[in-house]
Amino acid sequence: MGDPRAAMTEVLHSHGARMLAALRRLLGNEEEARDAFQDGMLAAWQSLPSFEARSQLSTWVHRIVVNHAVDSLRRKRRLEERSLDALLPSYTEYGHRLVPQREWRDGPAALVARAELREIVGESIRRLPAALRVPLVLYEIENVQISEIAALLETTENAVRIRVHRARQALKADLDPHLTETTT
Amino acid sequence: MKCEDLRQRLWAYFEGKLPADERVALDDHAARCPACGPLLEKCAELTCRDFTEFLHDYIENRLAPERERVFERHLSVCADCEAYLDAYRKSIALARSQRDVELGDVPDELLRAVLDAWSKSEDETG
Repeated sequence: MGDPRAAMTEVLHSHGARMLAALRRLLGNEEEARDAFQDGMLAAWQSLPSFEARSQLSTWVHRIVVNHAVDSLRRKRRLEERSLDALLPSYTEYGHRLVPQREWRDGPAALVARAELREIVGESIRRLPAALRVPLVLYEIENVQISEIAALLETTENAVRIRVHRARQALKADLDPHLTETTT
Repeated sequence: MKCEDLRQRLWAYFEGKLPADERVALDDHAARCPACGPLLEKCAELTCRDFTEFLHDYIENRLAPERERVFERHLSVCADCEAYLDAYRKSIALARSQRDVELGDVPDELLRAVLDAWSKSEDETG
């Protein structure tokens, strides 16, 4: 790396939008995302002497910014699970779902291509409780390994897998009304 | 009782809500019918709750082979779990597609705040 400030400024301009988007998804709130962006970029700047060029500088900074935000949420105890019953399926004593699943008729490719759904899905993710939203965003969108998420959240890999599963279920339940009635 | 009658009454059957005469008729039909007998057994083998609770292990191939076969047998007879699995998979696809959502720019004042914080940090550390 030549001039560190020039390199970091380049990352700020070329990858800042992607990092800010990740923070918006993780934190579900614009103001908190901006604060976390500023804090995370300062943390990356101060950690720069430890950058060993084993990955792209932009990848390294992105990871520091995301980890810094998740660590802050964990320290503020915002990731503790509260009751999620309303978001998850309920069953009869014989193990049948109380509300049968209605069919989502469009295929995955058709769903992903529907522009209006992108905003709906983004909003559904933002509305999830932090205890579910953070593992989901890290695993499905930020592509972070389960083992890394477990280390970051100071929990077990199995606990992370269960939270990702619960988050997918809650997302599905939130999207059901949009996808079981009309199709394009 | 016909096969379709049995399928329509399965839920009530396992919930114990079927009148006694219908329950007997259902058991009689299942005992004689080569399609409905196995169906009844498979439905009792794994509940929809178990299927749903361990769905993530199933789709990520983390179940033991014999357990996986139980899940597949359940899916072959339970339209509700088949629909649930389908919607669950599509939810994952939709979540992942957020990676490609267009990104807004970083506001200028935020860029300036970051650059100022770096300068201040440089001054402090000399």
